[in-house]
Amino acid sequence: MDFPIFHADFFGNRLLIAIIGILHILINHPFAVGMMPLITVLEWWAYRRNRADWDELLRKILGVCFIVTTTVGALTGVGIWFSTAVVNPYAIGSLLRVFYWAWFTEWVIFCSEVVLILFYFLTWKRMGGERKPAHIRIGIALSIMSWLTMVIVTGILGFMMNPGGWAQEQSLLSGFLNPLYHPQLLLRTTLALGAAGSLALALALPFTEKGSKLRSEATRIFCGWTLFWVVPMIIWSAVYYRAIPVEMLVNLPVAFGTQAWAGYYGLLLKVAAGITALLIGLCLWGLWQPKRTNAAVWILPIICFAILMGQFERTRQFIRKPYVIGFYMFSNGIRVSDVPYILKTGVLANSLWTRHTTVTPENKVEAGRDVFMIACSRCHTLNGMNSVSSNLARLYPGQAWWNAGAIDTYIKNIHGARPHMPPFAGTAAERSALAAYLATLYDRRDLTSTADLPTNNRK
Amino acid sequence: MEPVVPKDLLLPLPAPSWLLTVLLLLSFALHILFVNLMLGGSLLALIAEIRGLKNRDWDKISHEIAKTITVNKSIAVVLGVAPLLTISVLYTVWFYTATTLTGHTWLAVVPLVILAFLLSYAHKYSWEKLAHSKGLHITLAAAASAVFLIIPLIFLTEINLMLYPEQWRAIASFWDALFLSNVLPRYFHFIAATVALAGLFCAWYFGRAKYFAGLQLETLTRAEVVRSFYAVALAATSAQLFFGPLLFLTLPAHVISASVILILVVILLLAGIAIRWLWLEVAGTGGEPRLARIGGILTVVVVLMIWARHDIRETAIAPHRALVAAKTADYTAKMMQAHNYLVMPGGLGGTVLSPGAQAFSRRCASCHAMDSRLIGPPLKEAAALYRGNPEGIVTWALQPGRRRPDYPPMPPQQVPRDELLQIANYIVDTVTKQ
Repeated sequence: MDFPIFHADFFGNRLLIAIIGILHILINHPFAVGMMPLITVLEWWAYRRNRADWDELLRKILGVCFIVTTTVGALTGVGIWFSTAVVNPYAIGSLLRVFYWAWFTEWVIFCSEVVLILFYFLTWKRMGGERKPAHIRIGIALSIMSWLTMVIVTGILGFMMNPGGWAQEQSLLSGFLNPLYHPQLLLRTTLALGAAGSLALALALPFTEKGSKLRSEATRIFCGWTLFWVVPMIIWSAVYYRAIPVEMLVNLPVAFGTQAWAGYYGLLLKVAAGITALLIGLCLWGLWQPKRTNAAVWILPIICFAILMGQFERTRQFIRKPYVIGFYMFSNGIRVSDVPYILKTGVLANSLWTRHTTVTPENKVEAGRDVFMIACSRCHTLNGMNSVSSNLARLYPGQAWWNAGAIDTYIKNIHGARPHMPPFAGTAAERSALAAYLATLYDRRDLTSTADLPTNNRK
Repeated sequence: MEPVVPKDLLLPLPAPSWLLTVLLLLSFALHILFVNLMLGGSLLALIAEIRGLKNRDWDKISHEIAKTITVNKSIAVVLGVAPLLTISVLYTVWFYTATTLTGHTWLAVVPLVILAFLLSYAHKYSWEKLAHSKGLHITLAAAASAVFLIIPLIFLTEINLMLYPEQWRAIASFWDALFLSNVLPRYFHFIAATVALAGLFCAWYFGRAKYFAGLQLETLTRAEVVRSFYAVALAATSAQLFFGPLLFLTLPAHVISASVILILVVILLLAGIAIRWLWLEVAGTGGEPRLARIGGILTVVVVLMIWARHDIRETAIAPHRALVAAKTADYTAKMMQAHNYLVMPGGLGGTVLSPGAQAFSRRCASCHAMDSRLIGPPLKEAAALYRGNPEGIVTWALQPGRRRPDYPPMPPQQVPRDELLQIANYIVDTVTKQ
């Protein structure tokens, strides 16, 4: 209401955040948090056994991880700040005020992590022979720092789902040690370590020759490493599941798929279990018969992990709905405690960047569009992904027109019908204007461009 | 134009604002130092590689600079996180308004930086492979530099836009914000500073005797190389004698305070001294090496510039900040009043609904009315079917079938059985009474 409205109608603002966030996790977990301990342990192992071929293989794998993490990895991390700030400044601004010192601490760790990975990779060749133990110690320090960044950010992610005691105390620590903290941290840790094994296996391919001893050793070792972490990963995912607030579990069927797929929740759950089983099977194969393996064993495991991680993040991002900060702020940036006042005075009267401040018979549809932009557009597009027009078409199949009155009644109780939706905060006139506007979407596409957004016309 | 007055977020700052200010300025100084080395290094590497077409020594020097860029760029990015977070906390209203107003361009920073970094890696790691396709290799360096040059322009535009709330309504796109009076002078001033610092850095880097001997250049001596980089620093610092005043003169009058003028005078004096010392180094007059002195004085200049910049920001925002604070206080009072009104007994007024009616409005009323079609069919039809058998409604709601192809299928209701039974009774009763 206080900030201008950034709206990407084709893509959806939600998807923008999701893509950057998920890409960041897909890089951070296997390429950094999981990979650094794996490489350090094996560097030590290769040093003890005097295996120069392994040392070189590890350096090459690290080189790929170095390039990926310091470009796409680092920038998608920063990109989360950029995208959340333009899509929902209320939410990210509030989180920052609560967790400033947590993020500041993370930044200090983060700086040391970057310096360490620069040292670790760029001095690999120079610090051979007698200086190898010192080099391995850099790897250990790097592994600890990578994991510590996860230790901190997990506290914040859990908080967004369940702030725990924060709502009363509003202190950093009570928010940080929320009920979801330990389960999520252990799940992410085991997931990252397991995925690193599968990633290393795939990355080793171009650096090892087919049928070579090095290749079959790599297959056995990396498959064994992955298997070792998959078992605790399954256990911690069950513990984590049990810690999710009951109110949010209701969302799971929709979160896991999409609304259209909600009915297939059971099926998707089976698919996830199937992927995990496939992963275990492939790793067992690699462990027992490393010489008789093929592309399936080398490449498929990391793809399985990517699907599992992507699905986990997607679900986590969705499941906290209708809140963006659990029980404190709704997905559209309106705070729970703002609702009574906005119900009384109206969402338009409290907005700075809309065309209209009140609903009149003349401006009804236009004002309804303004209401849409404030109350709905953080998650819904008009015609793009997750569009309101397609949702409405599903609600009124085959009807000649859409009844604005029926839409109005639906919105009035929308939080009852759809537990992932926030209640409509606004006056009855605004709700009716929104319904009138939505009804017009029946036979036209409302195309938005930045220039067209309601911004500048108000005095 | 009237300024837009938003209200602040209703959460306290995580620390006193003086502490946040100190952290912002310090972390920003560190960040911008490495940005300078990254961007300036990228430009100098490009020029050195082009000179290397004639003299292979410069090609070697360019390669050495390229190796520092990929290290400095990683440090620059990670150091940038702290000032980004701190400015978001300390100037929430102003910074977030500026970035959302120009959201698409602001977001473009992320892919642009990734692209610039990947190009830098490609450039550094393809030195031997592309030794015989120099044209292509130099194109990589030029492309990286070009992308690097765009990024500070975007940042400066945002940082400038946040200072002028009275202009916000007039901003429809990034371009409007870019052409506000003093973005471009600020940009050229920054680029000149970048080249000066990178030149000085290279003068130190290639001035180290042992390292330089290890390079095994064919014709160039250490003194020649170092003097070339001093010349770069001298030229760029002298250019500031033009860009500095230009920047000052394009500032709107209301953002200039007496203290900022004082800071700028000191900066001018110090810059004069630095230019003289640089000149002595370029002229090769000998004597005590002046690198530490020049580095020291330029560090002080950079710190003072950051201070001046902060002074201008505070002067620009101060009156608007008071408006924001007043609006926030006013809103908070009204919001609390509405909130307390709701939770006081009898606050909602009106009649008290039966549990069945309440549950109905919570669970069903979105899609069903008694007499008309909403999302689902009118319930008087259902009530007729289940008269005397409300349990039938419960069974249906838990696991609905599909009877009407012209309606969407009803989703299974995850509602406790006893609550559903209350609802079913309410439906049948209401319709019977009609």
